[in-house]
Amino acid sequence: MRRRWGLTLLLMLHAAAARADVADYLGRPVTAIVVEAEGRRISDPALLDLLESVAGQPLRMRDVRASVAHLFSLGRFADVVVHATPTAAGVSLRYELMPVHPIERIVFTGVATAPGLDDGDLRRAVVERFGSSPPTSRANDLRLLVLAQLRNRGYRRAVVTTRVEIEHAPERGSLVIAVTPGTRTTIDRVIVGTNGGFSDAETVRRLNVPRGAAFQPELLQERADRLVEDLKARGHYNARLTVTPQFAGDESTVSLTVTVVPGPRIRLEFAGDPLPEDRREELVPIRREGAVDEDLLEDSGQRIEEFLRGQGYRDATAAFTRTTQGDELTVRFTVARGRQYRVAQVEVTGNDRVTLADLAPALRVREGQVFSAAALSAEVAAIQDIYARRGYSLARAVPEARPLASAAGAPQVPMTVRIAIAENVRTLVGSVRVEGNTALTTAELTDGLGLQPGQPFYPTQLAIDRDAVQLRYANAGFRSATVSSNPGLSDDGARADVVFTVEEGPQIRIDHILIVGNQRTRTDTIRRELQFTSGDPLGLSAVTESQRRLATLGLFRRTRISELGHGAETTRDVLIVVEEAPVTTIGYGGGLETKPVIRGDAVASEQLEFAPRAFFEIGRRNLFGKNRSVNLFSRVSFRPRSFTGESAGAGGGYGFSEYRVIGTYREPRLRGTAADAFLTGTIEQQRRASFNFARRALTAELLRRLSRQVSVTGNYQLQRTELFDERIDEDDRLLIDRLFPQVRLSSFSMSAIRDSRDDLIDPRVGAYLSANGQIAGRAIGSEVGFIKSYFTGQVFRTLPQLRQVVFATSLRVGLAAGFPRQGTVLDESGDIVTGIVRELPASERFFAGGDTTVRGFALDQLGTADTIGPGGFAKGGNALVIFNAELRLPIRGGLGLVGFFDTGNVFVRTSAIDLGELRSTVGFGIRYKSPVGPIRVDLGIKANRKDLAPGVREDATAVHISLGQAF
Amino acid sequence: MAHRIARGFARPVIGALMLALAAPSRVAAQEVIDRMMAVVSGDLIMMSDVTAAVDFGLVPPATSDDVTRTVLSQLIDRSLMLAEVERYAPPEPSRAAVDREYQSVSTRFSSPEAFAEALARNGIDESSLRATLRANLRLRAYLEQRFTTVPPSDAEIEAYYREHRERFTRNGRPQPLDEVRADVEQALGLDRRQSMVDEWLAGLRRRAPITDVYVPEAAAAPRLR
Repeated sequence: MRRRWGLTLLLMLHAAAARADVADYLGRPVTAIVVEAEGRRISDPALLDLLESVAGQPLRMRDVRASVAHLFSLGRFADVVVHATPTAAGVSLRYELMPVHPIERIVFTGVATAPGLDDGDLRRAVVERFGSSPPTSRANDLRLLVLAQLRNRGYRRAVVTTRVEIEHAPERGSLVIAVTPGTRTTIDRVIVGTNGGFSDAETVRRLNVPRGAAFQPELLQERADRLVEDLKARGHYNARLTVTPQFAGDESTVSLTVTVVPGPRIRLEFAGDPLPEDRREELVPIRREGAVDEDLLEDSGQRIEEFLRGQGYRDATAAFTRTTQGDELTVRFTVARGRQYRVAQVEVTGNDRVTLADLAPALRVREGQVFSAAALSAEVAAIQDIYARRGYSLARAVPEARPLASAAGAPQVPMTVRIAIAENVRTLVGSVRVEGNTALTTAELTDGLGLQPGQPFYPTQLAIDRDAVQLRYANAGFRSATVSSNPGLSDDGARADVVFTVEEGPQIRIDHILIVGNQRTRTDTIRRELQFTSGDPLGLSAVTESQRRLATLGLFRRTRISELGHGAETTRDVLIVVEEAPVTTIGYGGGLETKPVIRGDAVASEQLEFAPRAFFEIGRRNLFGKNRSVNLFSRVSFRPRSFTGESAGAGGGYGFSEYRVIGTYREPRLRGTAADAFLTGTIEQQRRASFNFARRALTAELLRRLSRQVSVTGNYQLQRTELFDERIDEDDRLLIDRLFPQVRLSSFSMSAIRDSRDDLIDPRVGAYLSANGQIAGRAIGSEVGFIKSYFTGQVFRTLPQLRQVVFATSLRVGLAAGFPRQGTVLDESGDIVTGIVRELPASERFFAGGDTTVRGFALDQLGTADTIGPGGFAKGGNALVIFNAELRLPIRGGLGLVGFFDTGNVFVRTSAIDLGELRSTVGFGIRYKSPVGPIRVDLGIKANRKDLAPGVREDATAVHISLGQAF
Repeated sequence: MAHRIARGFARPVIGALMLALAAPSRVAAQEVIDRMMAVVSGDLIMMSDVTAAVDFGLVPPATSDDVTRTVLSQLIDRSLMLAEVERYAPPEPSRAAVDREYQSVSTRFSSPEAFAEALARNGIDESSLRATLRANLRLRAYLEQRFTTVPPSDAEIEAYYREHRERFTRNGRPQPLDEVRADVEQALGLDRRQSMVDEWLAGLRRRAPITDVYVPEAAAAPRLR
């Protein structure tokens, strides 16, 4: 019996020591799966969904691998271990997770009592290098960084250790950096070997290294650098300063040997022909380089010669000499420009198949210009490129420049320039083939390429097409596909049978899509913006577009899409990490608005008005995690009382005159459609030149983006407008507003917009095109019926020769017509009678003049005789034409200059549009690129002045100060 | 009676003892079948990657006491180098070349069944193995493309021969330089190339974030065959 018990015990002990092989578990049914983190069972479905192992199914290691990879991909776990336990019915699995404990606090110990040490400085250094939550894997690097900081403060024998103190629920850690500073090294002795420049005492004083001071090498280096800079400023461009420390055995003290070698003082002279003062520093950069070696001087001489040759002095020479006298080195450049060569005649020959008109864009060397070999070379290259684009890739242009006979000693020499073109054979594309492609068809790869059968063969296009084929593979998930191209030229060069040879490599597909970091935003809201799903090829453009769409949501401070490999090199998990932006945003600000306006009781006059203004904005986004948002914007302006229509008895000063309150609710992708919906309520009181109005409006809008650049909107608006303080002539008021001091408008409108501008606030390239149509009628509840359209076209371009200069142009056209209605009008004898009225309510008419329209005029003060009342106040009209052109030149440091031409007018009816009546202004302005956008000051000058009212002449100019570009 | 009591007492005690002994057996039977081992620039290396590398001969045979550590270090280096390969895209290996590599790996096993069993045990399939072999070929091409050495001079060959005479012996006797010149030149070239690669790798290791969670005691070292 005892023997039997003993045997059993032995067997059991043996069993305990034995270990099963992974293969022993494979294929056995998984009986249970448990996920634990630090001993706690995890039941989060988001985590459990990532497991590929399935209870009841046979165990497969590929499932286990995939599960570990997915869990790791979340970035929440520092370790994942999978345990298998044999059971009677199969095998149970336990996924053991070790959560990451992000560092939320960095604590320094041991630095408080050490002089010269500040834990704030040390923390800043750590955060700057490793971020505010340094990864624990970088503990050693972090320790070395702190040690370096301590050494820089004189603690050369410091000891630094790091440890992480972990907290649970929430998982986080504190990084404790324990510092034992040790003895601080102090300066014992300073030996200065100065060879000119400064006295020894001055050097010690400037370096601030008295005996007993702490040895701080970084600080010392900064002072030494400043000293060297001072020497260079005195002309010692070769100045050097070295500080050599010698430490005592225990490093408690240090002796410093300071050696200053100022080098000779260098004087730069120019002799011979003049060289522009403002180019000398750039051509001979000895001050900037801090050197006068032979190479630098030779290069400088060549630069001077090149500069002069560019100005037609093709025989220019610039020789230099070096002369040492005492401790002064004189470098002298002797410039001999020689005679200036000018182009007297240009001949292009041999161009049988390409006309001179076609070559015109390349022909930049013109008669009368100074001759420049570099410009001629550029022209030759441009001609060859034009030929190559037409299929003549073997065409060659051979330049020849010869001086013509000129009087001896004449300062200018005429040149004849001949360019002989050998066109050679034209190459046409015979066929385009792709070899080695299996995943993508030839049609998919070649469709839309620049090279097509029958088209001219252009070598540069071949390279572009090769890249396009490679990109199509990358977009299909073949990230390592390589494409080579062969032009396949025939023997006579007339035919190119282009072949793209593809090595596809493996296609990478998306395994899991993991979304982390979203606390308030629903995962579906993020997933909706992604251009890929699990199982799709991991395409480059899909990832880029998804990233862009997520950023456009405006919900996140940062978004990052990264790919995670996990052994299987043909699949990747895609990890989307978002950092949510605060849901509540508050903005407020104030400023001073300045613009010329029209004032006066009976007769208008232009005056500059200053009006303080303020705004407050509050918004809450991502309501219910679905990217819905609400915003409330309010703005108020305080204007001089005399403008608000208050009685004279109200006194001077400022009164509350203009305000706008806008509440907006936004519902993206309304009911699953591609359209975003907006509901906007507006309460405002605004001032126009000839009346003031108060408005209440409710707008419902649907916006659909058809592409990145194109969008369409449709909206319905119900508004009520009340006019007051009209300064419109009594007769005109009878015509248009007597019946409608208050008017209710109900209208539908549609807009189409194409916007390819690179920057909405300060565009440099691109175009903005929009067309808007609006209709209001009694059938839909409006008191007044009208139809109205507004067209805008704006183009922005950088000038080809001056890349920094932007040319901007804008055309705006507004057309409107009122539906006929009964109203009171004046008949020919001046009596009030009932008749047909077609005019629009004042609030709906077009006005022009001011900082964004025609800048030679005060706000709203542009019009024809029919749209400006006898008193000079604008009545507005049913048609508007405005054209602007502007050159924007950056100067430096955010400052820029603008020259502009504005023209336009407001007409009483569309049929009254007369381009001969456009009124023009020219002007210039200053721009400053501030953090809140360009600050703008414009001065507009009228091309011709008219009378505002009998005897009251318009001002010749108008000044505008505002934010943002004019258009 | 006392004897009976003793017997009656002894059985439960022995039973309890056996249960107690059995308890560690239950715990010990819990096997780590896979786990994270390292993360290199965001790429995960798992225990099954280590065993697969050994099973399929994807790394040179390790002779150290801690085979797992050696193989893991090689996989970390491979991962670092592959990240560089992705940046510079060397020529894509041909399908035939990948087929040859695959054939070479599969013939390491005694039978197709043994090969299939090794694939299943390591949790990878044929396409994944092919992708790994392809990556290795690209890596090799990259190294050959990037680290070329100039042919050594005669003086350098002679110096190398003098310093490494023991490597050029036959039957225990050093061979004259003239007879082994080609071997010396090749060995010198390989040494130089390897030192360049080592230096480059050291730089990659310094720059890349590497998290190595392998601890021999805790890692339930994989059974390497």
